[in-house]
Amino acid sequence: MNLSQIRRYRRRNRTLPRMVANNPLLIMGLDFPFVVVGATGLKNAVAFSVEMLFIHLFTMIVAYLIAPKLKIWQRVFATTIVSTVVMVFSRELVLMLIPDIENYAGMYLYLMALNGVTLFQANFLSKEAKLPKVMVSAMLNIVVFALTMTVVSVIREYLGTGTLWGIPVPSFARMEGVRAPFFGFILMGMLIALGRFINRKLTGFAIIDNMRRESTAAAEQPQG
Amino acid sequence: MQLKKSNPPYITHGDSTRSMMFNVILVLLMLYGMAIFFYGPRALVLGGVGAFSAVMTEWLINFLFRRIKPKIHDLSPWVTGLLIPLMLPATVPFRVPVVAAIFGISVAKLPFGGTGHNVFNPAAAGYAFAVTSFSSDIIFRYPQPLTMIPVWNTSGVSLYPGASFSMSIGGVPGTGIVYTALGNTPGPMGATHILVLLAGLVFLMSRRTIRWQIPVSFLATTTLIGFIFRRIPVTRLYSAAYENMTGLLLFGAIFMLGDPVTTPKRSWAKVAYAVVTAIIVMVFRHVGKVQESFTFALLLMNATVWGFDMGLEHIAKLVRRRKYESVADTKVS
Repeated sequence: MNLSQIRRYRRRNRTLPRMVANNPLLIMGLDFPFVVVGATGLKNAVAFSVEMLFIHLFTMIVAYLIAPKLKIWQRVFATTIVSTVVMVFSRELVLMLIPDIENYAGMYLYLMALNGVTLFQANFLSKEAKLPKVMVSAMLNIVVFALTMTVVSVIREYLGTGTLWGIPVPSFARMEGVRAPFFGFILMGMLIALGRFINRKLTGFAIIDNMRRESTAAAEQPQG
Repeated sequence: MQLKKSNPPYITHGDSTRSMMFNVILVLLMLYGMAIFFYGPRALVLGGVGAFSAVMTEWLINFLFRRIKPKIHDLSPWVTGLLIPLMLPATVPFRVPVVAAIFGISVAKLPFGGTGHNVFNPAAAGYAFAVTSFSSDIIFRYPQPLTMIPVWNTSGVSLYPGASFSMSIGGVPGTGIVYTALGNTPGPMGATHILVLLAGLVFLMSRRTIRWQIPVSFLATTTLIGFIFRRIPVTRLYSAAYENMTGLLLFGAIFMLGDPVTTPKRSWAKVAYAVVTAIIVMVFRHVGKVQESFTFALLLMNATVWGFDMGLEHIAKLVRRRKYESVADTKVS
C-alpha cells in the first residue's frame, strides 16, 4: 500500500493531532487536579492559564539549558525551584488581573508550581532537544491546557451557577453537582474521548483518501 | 460443547431482552397507575417526559456517533426513562427527570457501549446526579398522597419530608405501618406502594426477568440488620418492616439491583453481591447524611461486579477440581 498520501495528510494536519491526541494533558492525565477540581469558573480558567503560560515556558527554557549538564535527579530539584519562583511572580500578575481570584481558585493557584505537565516535560527533556522544537511543544501544551480549562470551566460555571465570568446569564437549569469533582472527571473523560475521536477520524479520512486515489489511478491506467 | 460469544444479559430461557424489558415496563405502568391515583395526571406526564428524554438521548447519540443503528424499539431506554420519575416526588420540576435521564443515558450507559455493556445502572446514575445537582427541597420533599397536583404550576402544593427523613433523625414515620404498606404516606411517587411493588416482584421473578437470588438475599439481609440494629424506638419486627418499606430500598431492590446487566453471572455470586450491597445500604442509612443513599450504595457496588464474578469463578474452579480429584482418588484406590 502506498502510504505517501497518508504521510502528507498527517504532515498537513500535524498540529491538531499533536494538540489533541498526543498531548500529555489529555493522554497521560497530567494536570488532572486543576481541571477536575479547579476548573469551576471562567475566572479560574484564565488565572490558571496565565500561570501556566509563564511557569511552563520559563521552566522549559531553563530545562533546555540545564538538560545537558545535570542528571535527572538534579534536574528535578532545579526545575521545581524555577517553576516555584515563576509561580510567585505570575501569581502577582494574576492577582492584578483578577483581584478576587484567591477566593475561587484557592490553593490551586499555588499548586500550579508543581503541575504535572511542566515537571514531567522539563525533567524528561532529551539532551539533544532543539530550542525551537521545545518552544513549539511548550506552546502547544499551554494552548491545550488553556482550551481544556476554558471548555470545562464554561460548561461547569454555566450549568452549575447560571453565570459566565460571574455575570448571570439565562439558563435552563442550575445543577450544583456540576461543580463537584466527579463531574470534572466525566467532562475530562469526554474531552479525551473527543480527542481520540478526532484523531481516529483524521487517520480514517487519510486512509480513505489514499484508497480512493489508488483506485482512481488504477482505473485510469491503460489496460494491456 | 459449542460456546457462543454474546453480550449480557445472559438469558437461558425462552425470553428475549425485549420481552424482559417489556415485563419491567408492565410493572412500572402498574406503579404509574398507583401514582396517578394518588397524585393525579402529573405523574403520567412526568413519566412521559422522562421516557421521551431517555429515548431521544439514546437515539440522538447513536445517530451522531453511528456506532450502532439507532433503534426506537429497544426498550431499555424506556425502562430507564420511566424508572427515574418514580424515584422522585410528584411535584418535581420537569427539568429534573429530563436532566437525570440525559445523564443516565449519555454518561452511564452509552460511553460504556450501550445496552448490555453498561457498568453502572443508568437510572441509578441519573437519580444520583439529580440528588447531587438539585437542592434537597426539590428532591426530598413530597406532597401528601391523594392530593391532585396541577400539571404545570405546583408552587401551591404543601410538601412534607418523607419517612426516610423521619427515620434518619430517629423518629417513627407518622403514618403508621399499615398506611406505609398501602403507600398512603409522603414519598417518592413510585416507591411507596409496597403491596404493588411486592406483586411486581413476584411477577418479575415468576417471569424470570429478575433472578430470585438477588432481591431475596438483599431483603433478607436488610431485614436482619433492621431487626438487630434499630434506628427508631419500636419493636425489632417493626424496625425491620420500616427499614424495608421506607425510601427506595424495595423499589431499588426490584428494578435496579436486579438489573441483569449490572449483576454477577453465577447464582452464588449474585447472593454474595446482594448481601454485601444490603450491608452497605444499611451502613449508609445508619451513618450517612443523604436521605436516599440506596442509589449511591448501588453505584459503588456496580463497580465491583467483576470482582464477584472473578472471585466466585475461581472458587467454583477450585471446587470442581477437588471433586474431580476425589473421584480420581476413589477410582485409583
